[in-house]
Amino acid sequence: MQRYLNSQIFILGGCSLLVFYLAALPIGTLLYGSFRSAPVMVAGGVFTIQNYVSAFFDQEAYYLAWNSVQFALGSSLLAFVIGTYLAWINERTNLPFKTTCSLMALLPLLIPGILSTIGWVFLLSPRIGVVNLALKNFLGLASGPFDVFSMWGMIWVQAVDIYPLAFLLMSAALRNMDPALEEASMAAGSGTITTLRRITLPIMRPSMIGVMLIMFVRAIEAFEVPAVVGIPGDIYVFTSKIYLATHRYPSDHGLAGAYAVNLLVICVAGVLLYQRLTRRQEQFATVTGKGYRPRVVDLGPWKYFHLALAVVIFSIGVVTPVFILIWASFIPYYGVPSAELIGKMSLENYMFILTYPEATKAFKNSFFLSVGSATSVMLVTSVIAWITVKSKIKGKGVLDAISFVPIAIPGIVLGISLMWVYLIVPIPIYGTIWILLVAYMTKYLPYGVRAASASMIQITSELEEASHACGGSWQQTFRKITLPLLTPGFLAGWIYISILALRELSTSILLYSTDSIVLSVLIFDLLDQAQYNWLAALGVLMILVLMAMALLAHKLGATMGIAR
Amino acid sequence: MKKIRRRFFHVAWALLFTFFVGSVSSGRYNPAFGAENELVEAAKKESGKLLASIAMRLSTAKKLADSFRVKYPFIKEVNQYRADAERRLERTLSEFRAGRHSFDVFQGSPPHLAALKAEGVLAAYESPQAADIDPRFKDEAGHWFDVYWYPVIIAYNTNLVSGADVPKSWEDLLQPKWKGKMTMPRDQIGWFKVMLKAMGDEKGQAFMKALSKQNIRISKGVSDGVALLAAGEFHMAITRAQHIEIFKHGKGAPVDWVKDLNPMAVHGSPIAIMKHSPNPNSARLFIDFLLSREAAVIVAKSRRLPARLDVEGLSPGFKEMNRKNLVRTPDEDIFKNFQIYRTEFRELFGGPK
Repeated sequence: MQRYLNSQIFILGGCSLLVFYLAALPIGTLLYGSFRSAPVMVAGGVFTIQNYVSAFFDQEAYYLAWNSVQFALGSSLLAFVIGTYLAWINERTNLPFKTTCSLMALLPLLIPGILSTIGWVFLLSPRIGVVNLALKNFLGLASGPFDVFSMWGMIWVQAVDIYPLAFLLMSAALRNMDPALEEASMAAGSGTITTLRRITLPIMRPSMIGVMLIMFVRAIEAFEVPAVVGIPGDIYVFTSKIYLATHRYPSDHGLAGAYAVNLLVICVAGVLLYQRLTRRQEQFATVTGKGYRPRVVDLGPWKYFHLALAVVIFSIGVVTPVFILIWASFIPYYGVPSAELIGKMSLENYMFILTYPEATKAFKNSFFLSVGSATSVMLVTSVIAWITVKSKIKGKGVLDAISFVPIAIPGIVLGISLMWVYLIVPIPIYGTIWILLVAYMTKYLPYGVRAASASMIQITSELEEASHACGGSWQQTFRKITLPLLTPGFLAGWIYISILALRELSTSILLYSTDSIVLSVLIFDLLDQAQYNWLAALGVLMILVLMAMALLAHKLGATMGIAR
Repeated sequence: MKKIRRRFFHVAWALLFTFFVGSVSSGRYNPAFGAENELVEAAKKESGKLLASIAMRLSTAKKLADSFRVKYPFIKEVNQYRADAERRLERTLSEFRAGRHSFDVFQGSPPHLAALKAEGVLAAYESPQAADIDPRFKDEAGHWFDVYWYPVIIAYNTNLVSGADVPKSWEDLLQPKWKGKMTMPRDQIGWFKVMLKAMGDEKGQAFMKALSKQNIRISKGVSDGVALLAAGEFHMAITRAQHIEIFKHGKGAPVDWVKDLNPMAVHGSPIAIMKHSPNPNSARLFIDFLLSREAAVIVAKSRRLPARLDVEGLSPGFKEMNRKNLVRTPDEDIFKNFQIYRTEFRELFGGPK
């Protein structure tokens, strides 16, 4: 018994240390660096609040904050509306082809943000955007009606990128709602609209606000759209400014640090508020063990209209940007589809990419990081989940809390923090692939914890107790009983993390070196050099890999619906 | 018989002469040949990898790296880091200050190289190939050498601009019909200074002021501006000739450039060895190779103008170019006053958009 306790404490200690190392060390270094007068890696800096003074008393800071809020609010609201609508027709109506529809709503999750953003530039650029040109010629306008390099353009592209998340979260909320109150309202003679206004919306309000908050956080920490669309349009937000402050010459790491802390505070506040709101939601006890099926609204003939609308959203959101990438991948220089260019179509871009050593290296690295981070995160988090769900060890709440912290760290902030950590800590992983592995582990820790504890809760302790009764040690029990039982949940989490890791850009962009370049960064670099056709070919190959992974996941019976 | 004997003597003399000249000229190379052997032996003891931060197109860089590895098979990998110039500069400086040295060579714009030189990041090197490099295209102290050079010119989309509309001089850009239809890469300071000097300060300033009123869109880099020119987003561009040659002849895009302008600002694209290069001997071999005739031919085939005296640019457009008014950019002056000049430029034309 003594030995068993010891190993438990040892494991808790080990896990806490690891989680602390992954999550708390970068934030500590970031705070430290933001108070230094010189970049952390340069000797001779002193403590100063100058970075914050210039971050708060500079007019530019308010302009940045205002832009960031506009961008995040606009895109999160739009994404919320699209996502909620799709969730509603999928969960609460008699829409035909529901499985196909939910698949269509989830598919954008597979398209890396950097690629869909570039796709939108090809579509909505003021003069060469295909949509603009078509409309210009069709309506006889002097110039195209859309400008992607504007705040509205940014909001639109970001919203299209994140609406699947709103769809997932709102589907879950709608599915878990007890329809008894609605039924009572209908029975008392209220109409559909009154019921919606007086019953459904008030019940849903906490989860709706919660989802909007999460969408807001996701949008304000987004990097792809602000970098690809915002910077050329001269519209800067926190993430793009942090990136520029560390990547333009002369750089200003202190200012980047101060902005990073600002952004971190906003995101942490958002996530904390979200947790409070969803906790209150549980108090309403709408999620009970009672067996019920949500009331289904009969749409009548309108169901085909809604089906068509879902297809239109899917075509606009996913098909068009991907189609334009495919087009660009076959032509020698970017241009609007024309007879002249169709004649010049070839596989040359693919040939170049497939024989280009950097691309091969990026594929290898991305694959390694994707598999490596998913495996190590799921291994660590299943131990963490065991501690927080099953064990009665004191202090497990702290472990749970710290392991959830990274969810609130924006990718770019994590990037700059880790860059500083390994420039000053004598662990020689700066510039290697290991710093990226550490970053990805930190970033996906919360996702792993979620997936692992969700399946851990479903396992009763009887089997483990039986194992202990037969004399099995803690490790033996964990390896032979708990882990196998966890496998389905473990696998689902593993696949979700590996897909996220393959798309990762905002952290990698600050931490990669030539040896550890990953696919999304290579695409970003190619964009920097305006090699649109090579990047399109690389992007199409990358989407094919992601599709294959998702298909594999589907075959293995895992669902993609375990986001967060 | 006499005739034959005379002919024999002619041939003999010719042979003797060639031999003599050959031995004299190769005499210049003999020590270098020995030095090269030494360098190769020293490079063999290094990691067999080379990391270059480069500015040229990936396809050209790959061809050069492949030929280099064929010549020196013990070099297993030539890794090339190609990204936005300022990003590369910042990264190199950050790493240098933090005492981390991963790069062996750095290729960039002259002001960036000058910035690195001033921070002490670069090592001087006396390349045996330097003698064949045009003196305009190398640093006297041996801190950098240009691999190729290019003039800044007026380019146009041939679907949109043709016949009498094609500009003949810089002044033609001021015509009202071009307003809002032109692009130029950010911070064209070398071009800016050469133009001011050639036009005379007062006239030059007036020209620049009038040009800035034409609402020229500033692109982030050279390639993106040229890609948009080819795609028809812009009618004209102030840009580099080599990019237009690549797009016109390499990809068949509808673009061309004006080959007789006064002045044509000439930029070099310098490369240098890092002071703390992890593989200094391999880096020297690489520089020697890039400056060699073999590499210059690859460079010329990739539609650039090699800095070597004995290799001409091969792309058709360069043959039609009027070389009379080529003016090298005043790089030393530009680096010393970079911030001032950049502010001047940005006040007129704005920053990257």
